[in-house]
Amino acid sequence: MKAIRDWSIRHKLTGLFMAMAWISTVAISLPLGIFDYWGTRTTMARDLEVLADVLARNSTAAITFRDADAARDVLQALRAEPSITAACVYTEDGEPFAKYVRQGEKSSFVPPPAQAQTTRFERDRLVRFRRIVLSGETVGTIYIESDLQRLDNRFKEGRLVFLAALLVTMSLAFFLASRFQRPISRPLVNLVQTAKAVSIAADYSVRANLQNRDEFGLLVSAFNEMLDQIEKRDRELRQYREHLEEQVTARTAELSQAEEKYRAIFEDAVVGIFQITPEGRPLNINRALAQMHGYDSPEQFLAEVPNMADQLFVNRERTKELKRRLDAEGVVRSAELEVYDKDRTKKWALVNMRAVRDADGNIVLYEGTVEDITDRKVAEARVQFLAYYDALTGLHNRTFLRQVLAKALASTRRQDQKVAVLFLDLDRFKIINDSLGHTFGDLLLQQVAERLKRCVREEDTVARVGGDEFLIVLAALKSVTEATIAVNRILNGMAAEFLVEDQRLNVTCSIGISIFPEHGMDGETLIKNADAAMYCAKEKGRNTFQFFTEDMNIQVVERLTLENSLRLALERKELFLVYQPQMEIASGMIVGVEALLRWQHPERGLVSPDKFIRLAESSGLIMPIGEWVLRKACSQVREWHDQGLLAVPVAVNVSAVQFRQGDFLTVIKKVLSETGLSPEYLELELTESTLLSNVNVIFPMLEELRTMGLKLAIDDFGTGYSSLSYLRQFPVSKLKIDRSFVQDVVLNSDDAAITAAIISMAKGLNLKVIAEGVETAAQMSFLRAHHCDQIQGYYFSKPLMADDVAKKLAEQSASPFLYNPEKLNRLTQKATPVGVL
Amino acid sequence: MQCRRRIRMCWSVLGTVLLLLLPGPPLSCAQTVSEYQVKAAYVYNFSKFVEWPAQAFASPVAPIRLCVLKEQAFESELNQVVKGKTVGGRAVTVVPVQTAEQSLGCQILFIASSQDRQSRQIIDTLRNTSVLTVGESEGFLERGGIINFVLQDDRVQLQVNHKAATQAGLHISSRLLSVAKLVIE
Repeated sequence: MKAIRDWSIRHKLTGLFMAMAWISTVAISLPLGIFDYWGTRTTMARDLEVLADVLARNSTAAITFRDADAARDVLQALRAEPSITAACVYTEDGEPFAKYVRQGEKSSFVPPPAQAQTTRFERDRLVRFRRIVLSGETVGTIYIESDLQRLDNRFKEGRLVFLAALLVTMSLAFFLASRFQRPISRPLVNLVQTAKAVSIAADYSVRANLQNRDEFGLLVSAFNEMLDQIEKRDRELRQYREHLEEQVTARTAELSQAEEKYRAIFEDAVVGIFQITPEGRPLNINRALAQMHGYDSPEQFLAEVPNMADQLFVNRERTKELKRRLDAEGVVRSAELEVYDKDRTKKWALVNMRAVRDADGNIVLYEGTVEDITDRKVAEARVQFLAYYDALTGLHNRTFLRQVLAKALASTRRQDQKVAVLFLDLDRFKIINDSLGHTFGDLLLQQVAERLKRCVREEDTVARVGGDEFLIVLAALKSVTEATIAVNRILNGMAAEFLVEDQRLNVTCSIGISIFPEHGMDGETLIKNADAAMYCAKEKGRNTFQFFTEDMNIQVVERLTLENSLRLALERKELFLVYQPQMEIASGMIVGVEALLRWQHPERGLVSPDKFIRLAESSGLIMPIGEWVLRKACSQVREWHDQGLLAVPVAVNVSAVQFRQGDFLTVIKKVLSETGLSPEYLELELTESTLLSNVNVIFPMLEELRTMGLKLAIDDFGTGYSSLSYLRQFPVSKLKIDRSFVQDVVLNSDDAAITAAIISMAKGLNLKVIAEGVETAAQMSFLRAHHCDQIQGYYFSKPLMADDVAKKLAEQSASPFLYNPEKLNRLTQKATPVGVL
Repeated sequence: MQCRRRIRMCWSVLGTVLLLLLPGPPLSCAQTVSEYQVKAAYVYNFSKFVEWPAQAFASPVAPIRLCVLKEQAFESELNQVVKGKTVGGRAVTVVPVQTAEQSLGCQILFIASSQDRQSRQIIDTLRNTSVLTVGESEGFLERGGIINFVLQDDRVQLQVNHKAATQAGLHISSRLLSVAKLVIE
């Protein structure tokens, strides 16, 4: 209130106008807003009820005939409704039958109450229970919940409209107020201006103008009478002051003469010399000191630095400490002090000083000498930095982090708190480095470091411990939840796009977490366990985090064991190839084979390729193994040729890792020349993700492979991006439809449509199409009807050992026209599980 | 890699638990719910998803006749299911029949696998009448039957001969067709 009392009349009037405008706007908007909010809630509830009705209708048959898949399909349609967070179909006994949860949503399902059929708002969602009724009988219950996003949005819009209305009325009020307050405020302002003119010009002959006969008029005439009095007294005072000034000038001249002879020594000294008051005001300084601080002359220094202690000394505490020592001991020798120069650059100074006292023992000033030791200090700091910091990112290094962690653990032991160690690794950083260059990679790492620093608290420590690996210590946590919050903050922080050299890119990371004291009592164990947990987070699918668990150690050991035996598998000849024939539908002939890798482990038996191929990729063993597969497959086909068997090409799967390795083309050339196999008999199968992982590098390689005469096929087609534009660019000659489509082609109309579309699209691009995983006659007839070129799968032949392939090839060359694989298969297998009509 | 396998294992365990929770005819529940109990319930439920032409009934309040061809066990299960039930204002009754001629007035005729020998002859007799023939034998649909039960993964699933149904003047709800594992158009 006091502040308002001090306002000018003009402001008070304007304020009054605006306050009235504010109150009336709010009074109108508030009920309207509440009315609208309730309206939106009602609409939402009604919409959800309609949706529940539709779901109930569509799932009636599924629940009646206990078809959980059909019920799930019905619920899956909710994906088109992003506001629906979860839904569930219950049987009449209240057991959950099928459910749907929006991606990324964690929903707790509630079993339906006995008297179902309610709609209600809960804290953060709207839920609806509805009975599924068939011919008057309740056969189940639908539960559906939606988030309140729409309500929030409505609320936000309403708020925006309210603010806009407020702005308009307030502006209007301001405009009107500035017009209508003038008749009241102008006479007062005139009087104030006259009073100011008098005091500024000290001219008491000025008088205010009398305009009105109201209260203002009376005020003005009283003011003018007062001015008459003052003018008279002022004249007397001025005469007395002039007399005093003359006396002071004379005394000053005498003093300056006495000082002159010492000044020469003082001014030309090499070290800086100063005298300052106990408060820090410089009394006297010489040229060397001025120059050290970047000033041209002592005069400039004194003019621009009214207080040395406040302006030039960096550390207040240090300044106070020096002053204490001076007051106590009278002298300070060789003190190192950080100071600013004129441009606020920090410098280091070596100071010697003493206190000067008067006859009564009171300190009157301090004086002393100063030397610039900045260069020495910078060198010391650099040594310090290199020992504890990472030169690229300016983060701490592993050495420093170990010390921080040890300290954190020690203090935490006393305080009954927790410490979290985060091991963070960027996902696919190697690809960025390989494709965009190391300089680019370094710039990215610097940005990542900046973000990480921003995402953690002051007391946390971020260190870069190698390549793209970071360690973060979160100290003094009260609970594990706090660690989870911090980790989520980091993942969110990393989620925004990075802009490096005008390139936008998204970088994600995987984080492993170990907690003291649960996951280890010393730093090394915690770091090791966080590392193991990070590895698991990567396995889980990247861009996520994972807490350490005890069996991760076991897993790490098990993985290492498997990796070691895989390392030996090549030498011990435990790896071997089987070949699955590929049949041309039109002729029924074998037109190729796919080489498939198998591992016969001495103790574990046959190890699944799913398991060891990924291990080989992550450990780099894929390189020697991949080369062995190529060589083995090529020499096998060459051997068949030499035996005079029908010449068919062999398809070999190539991993993205092999492609990224620079010498892949050299390996291919070497294998072909060593085995003497003509290149057109080697077909490389790549997945879509391999093709697209690094277009700039892979595209020229593919071009060269095709120029050499090799065939290229896209494996698992349909599961990845299936980008047509890429397909046109790449020099591939064959598409392999993924087995998941082929399997359901008879039962699932979507899969049938996709498969048919892939085949016709491939035809349009002049590519051969092969379907893999063909197991039944029905699938076969579908593929035949849609003009698929080739098939591969148990329907025609399972993967065979080389000798068995040779036998089949021999049979085929003996009677190529009599051979009818479909007939043979029907005799040998009990095929056709699905009714063929 | 082990980590992923563990996650997958967790899922499969969770999946199994969910499966066990589901009511219905999986093998694990065979002691409590027999295959015929499930099929009887399904046969009753068919009457809610099928529309018969008006002339199929003697009067607007005539009951829906669920007929069973010489299969005492199924008949008694079906009797349990329909006890006191009505569908669309009609009572539901279970009628045991011995011959094709007897079943001419039925809305649904269930032919158990034990009676499958006669199925071809019966279906031929009932052709162009609006009797919904339900069977549980391989090849039932090919012989002209309309709905057939098959066991797949120990679950009772449906196959529907939509063509035969249309010929018989029956309208089968698309909701029922959507849960059938095989539909002949």
